[in-house]
Amino acid sequence: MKIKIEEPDRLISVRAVQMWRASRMIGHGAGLLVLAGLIGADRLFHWWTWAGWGLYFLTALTILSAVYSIGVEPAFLQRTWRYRVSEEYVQLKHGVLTRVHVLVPMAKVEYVTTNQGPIMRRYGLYNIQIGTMASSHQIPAVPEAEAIALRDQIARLAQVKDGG
Amino acid sequence: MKKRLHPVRIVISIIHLVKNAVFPALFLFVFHQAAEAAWVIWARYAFFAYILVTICGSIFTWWTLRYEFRGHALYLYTGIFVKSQRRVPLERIQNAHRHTPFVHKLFRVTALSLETGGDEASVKLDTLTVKEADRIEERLKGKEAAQETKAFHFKVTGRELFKASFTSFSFFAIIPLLGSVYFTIDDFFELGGLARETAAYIKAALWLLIPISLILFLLGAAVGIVMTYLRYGSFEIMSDDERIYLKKGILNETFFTITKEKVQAVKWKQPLLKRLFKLVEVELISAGDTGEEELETNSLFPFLPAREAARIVEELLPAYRIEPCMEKLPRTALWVKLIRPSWVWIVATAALLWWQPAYWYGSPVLLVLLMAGRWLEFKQARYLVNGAFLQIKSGILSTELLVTPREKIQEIEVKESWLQRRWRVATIQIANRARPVHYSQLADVPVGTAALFYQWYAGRK
Repeated sequence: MKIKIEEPDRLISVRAVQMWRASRMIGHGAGLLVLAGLIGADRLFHWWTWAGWGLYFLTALTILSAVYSIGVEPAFLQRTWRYRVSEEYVQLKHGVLTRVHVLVPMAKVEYVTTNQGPIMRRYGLYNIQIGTMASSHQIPAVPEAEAIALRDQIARLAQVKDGG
Repeated sequence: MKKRLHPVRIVISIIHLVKNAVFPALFLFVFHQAAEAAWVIWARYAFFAYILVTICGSIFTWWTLRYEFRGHALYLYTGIFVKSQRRVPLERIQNAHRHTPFVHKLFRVTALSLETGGDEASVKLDTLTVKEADRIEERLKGKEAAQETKAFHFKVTGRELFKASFTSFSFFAIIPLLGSVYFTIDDFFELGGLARETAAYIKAALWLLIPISLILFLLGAAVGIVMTYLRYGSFEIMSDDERIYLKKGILNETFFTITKEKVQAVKWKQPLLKRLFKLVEVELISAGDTGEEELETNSLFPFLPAREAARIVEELLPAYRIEPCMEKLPRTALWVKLIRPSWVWIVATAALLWWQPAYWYGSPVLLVLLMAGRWLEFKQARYLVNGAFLQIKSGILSTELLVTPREKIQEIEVKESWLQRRWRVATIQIANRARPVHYSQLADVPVGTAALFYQWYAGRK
């Protein structure tokens, strides 16, 4: 899609790729451990046949999902994520297969927060969450200094009141 | 000065109590004898205790519930053991609606509920004299409403109600009604045998089914008409500069107020049957919380004649001018819709071939149905950017047309899937304030239109 106004141009941190890989690895690892435990229990206690099949199917799904979401997706996601914050609106653009463009007027922004989990902390990254009356949006993996500056900037700009 | 609700409240709660206690009482005193078992005696004691506690409770609740208008706020005092006080600033009260159930009507009292936009529950003053309710509403409106001039927009006629009762399928209401009557009686008089005998008799003489279904249909139609009449009879739409007023119901009267400023969007809903009858349901999507009867409150009369509806909306909300001539989707959109893989079909086909390969022909039939649905979806879809307004129409069998001004749209999203990019189309989505948030989207508009739409929204202010 080509638009005549300025397109979102700011990138998220390159370290996002490593961060996503690490956190997704942990997530999938935990999932596989649980599945392994269940399969072991299945062997031991002889559950129904379909339960065994279901477990193997889930394991296969998890492995496929791991290949995609650890090996492939993070790099593309990082490369395609763009955002732009101006006086009038927040613009977000992301997605590999499905490209999503979001436009939130600054006047509708209700709150903005930064947050990070333990893995993000290791990489010095923050998520920025922007909430409106309708929903909330996240700019993922922004370096610390930038994130805090951005949060304060949005908070300041969003002061403007709008009747709607 | 703190005021109590009308003392009739106690009487009304006792009437409700009696209504709820009839069946347990029959059960405990008619169908089971005291001599039968010890639990009958205990249950009877429990029954009396329950009645006593409920009556005392209703007296105490009435005694302790008090309200007061002081300064610019309404104060509410409640609680028997735990006292609580609630302060509701008057300017926070968004909508007021009045509900007069039949019992209330007998005692010439009414229930007023005041909706505050926020998360808290609405304030319910459930037994007030009509005069007191008027006084409170007057007070809420303040000075601005001193010149009480409500414009009159619509009053339902008998003919419309008659049509409505058929399009709403309310004549099917007889089925659950008969069912519940049967099961209630069955609980006490073991009808099982009787039903089986009747069924056997009918099976022996199948022609009996014709008069029986005819009678059931007529009975159903009659019940449907009566029910529609009771629910929507004397329906009226009125308005003044700031508010819209809706009145409906014969036995249970309801009176709603919607603040015009809070209206976020207007939605025209037309299920297939209503389209045949040229009727339409107009729904006002409103930011304020409208209480438990949410779905109904937002809707103007659900069976408005299409032509009247356009006039009424224009009178109520002059800014919302609906342009009937809208843009169609391009031809390519149809191809995208037809090509897009259908998960429903894939899963259904896989399941069918796995378990019931003999019925393989179900799969192409399903595919044809799904494709027909997509073709209809393509046929129905319309969009238009009309000055500061956006119009989106979508749906397959029933259609929905949404009209909303740019400044009431909370945010927008444009999505392009891989397939859509190949065919240069995109999906647009908007969010409106409501509870829950109201999303509307239109798939497969030309990518150029999507870009224009994005720019149009960016150009707000």
